[in-house]
Amino acid sequence: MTQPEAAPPTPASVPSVTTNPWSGAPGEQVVMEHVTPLRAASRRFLRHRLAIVGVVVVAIVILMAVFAPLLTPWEPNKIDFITGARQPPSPRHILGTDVSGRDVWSRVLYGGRTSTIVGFGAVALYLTIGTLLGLAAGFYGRFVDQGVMRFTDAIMSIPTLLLIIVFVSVVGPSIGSVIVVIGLLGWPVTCRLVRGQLLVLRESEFITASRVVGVPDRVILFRHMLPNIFGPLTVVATFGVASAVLLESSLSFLGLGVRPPDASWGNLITEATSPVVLNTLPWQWVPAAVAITLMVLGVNFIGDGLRDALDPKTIKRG
Amino acid sequence: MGAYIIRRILISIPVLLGITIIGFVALRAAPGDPLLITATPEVLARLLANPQILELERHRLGFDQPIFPNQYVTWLSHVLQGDLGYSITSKRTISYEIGSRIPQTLLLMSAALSAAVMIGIPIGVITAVKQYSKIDYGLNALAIFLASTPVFVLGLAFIYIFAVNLHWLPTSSLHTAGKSDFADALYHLILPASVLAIVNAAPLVRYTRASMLDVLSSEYVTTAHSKGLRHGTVIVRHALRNGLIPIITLVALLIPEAVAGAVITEQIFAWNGMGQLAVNAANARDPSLMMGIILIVGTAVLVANLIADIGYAVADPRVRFDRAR
Repeated sequence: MTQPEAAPPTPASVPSVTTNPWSGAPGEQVVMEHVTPLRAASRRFLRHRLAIVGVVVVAIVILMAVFAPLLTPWEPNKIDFITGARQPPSPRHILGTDVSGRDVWSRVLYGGRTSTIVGFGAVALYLTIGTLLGLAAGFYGRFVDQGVMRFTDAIMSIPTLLLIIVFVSVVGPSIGSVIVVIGLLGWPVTCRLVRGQLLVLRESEFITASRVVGVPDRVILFRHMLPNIFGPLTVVATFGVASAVLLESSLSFLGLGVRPPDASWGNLITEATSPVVLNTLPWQWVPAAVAITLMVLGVNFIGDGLRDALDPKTIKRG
Repeated sequence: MGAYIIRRILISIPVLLGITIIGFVALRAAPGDPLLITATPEVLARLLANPQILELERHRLGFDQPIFPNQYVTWLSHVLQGDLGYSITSKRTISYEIGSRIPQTLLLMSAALSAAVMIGIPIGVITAVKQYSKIDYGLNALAIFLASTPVFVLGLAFIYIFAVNLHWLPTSSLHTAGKSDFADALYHLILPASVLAIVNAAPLVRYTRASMLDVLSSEYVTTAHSKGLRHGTVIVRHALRNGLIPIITLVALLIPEAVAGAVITEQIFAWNGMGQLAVNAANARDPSLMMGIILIVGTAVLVANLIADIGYAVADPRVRFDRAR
């Protein structure tokens, strides 16, 4: 656990080896490496080969989404009946065209933008809400705790997709409404996690010491307790991104998320429900399907790696 | 134990009412004229013929009253008498719409969930017992892969492979045209149930593995081993019983999750169930239908939670006796 008084050692300020006067023969200097928790966690993460694969895959996907305009000459929403609709892959259109003559490759790239924005945006939203509510519930106890927990239970007990469908039927489908609704429905898990960690931390000696010394509540919460929660929080956030991407693509697939002509991996697959497209025009939907799977898989691997690195309970016992 | 159950039921009722209140207010407050949207077909025809009685009708049906509590109480009293209203998209009663679709959804979900439990839990136990072996890595990777594939991709891939290319199984819906026997229904059930089963089994594998790993490192397992019990006996008679406790809650909570997965599966396989109904209601912005669905699904979720709690209390005596104080 990070002790609140010590300044975090930067790699430059602390030598990576220290001497331990307590081990070795008397008079002998034994050189030990100074391992910070962060360094230990990074090492555990890097040992996880799948996690590294995940980082590479997700980095590629994000970079391709960011640099989309540089990677394709075609406008993703531009209808082009002159070239021809439903063209198979050719040197001109790398992945062919869809039913309206739009280039599939650029739609996949720009769809990546949609999924990335929704994934990270929704998670950022519900991390903020969940953390604040969890801190309030865990720290102030009694009524605040009970109230927040009942509210959390109510939202958690409803199947997510159904609630989203109801919400979208009221508000109307768009990328904004998808981000907001995933964000508003995803915070219970974060809230519970933060509250649970806080209940444990509340009893720690260094927190009691801070209170005794007279550190204000707000400082205790944000400077002392919150940094200790970052580990599990990061893991939850990573898996959250994966499920947000899955949710967004499912919604767009059903027609309740991002709607055509805007591209999203989900709505590229909507047409595949017709047998004609499914069999004779696979280039329209297979790339998007592969893209979703790769992105979610990569993020899940990263999440697994982070969990093994940061969560002490899953480290193998001797 | 009985007191525990009754307490859980009593807590569930206000939660259900709360859910319906939120849904009702959200749907009634949405833009659009609720009178024209929710009127029965005959009334609607009459209204459109004589526009001057629109206001009278509005007052008679109570739409000029505040949404909560007046309009909500009216809706609730109708529901308690069994009248859920009419669907504007299909012009039939909502009870008929929902009632005609529940059996199909139940069939799909029960088949899928039982298959998921029968596949997922044993695999989870095996990967936990043989941790860090090749089997563990292989099955774990497979589970992660299947959990990362979206339901609709898996479904479409299955249709492509099994129905279109291999011609083993039909592509959609409950019956081939003209037939209505049960064997035909089962034949159509295989593909959608398998997809739903696989998608729900993957997280089950991972959670069972985590739970069993936790249990296997406990002291009583070490004691059992040092007593001289065979490995298999230790696993089945000691570790499994404790490791499965959290899994019980998970399985019961999978039921409402399966409803969500069923929505997409039903869409792909043209399976006429509640999920399809929900999507149609959302696309057509049909608020009465939406309220009916919210009511049914809310009840199902709370029943599932209740079963989860009861199951947990039955399996873990600590829960029962702790609360009795």
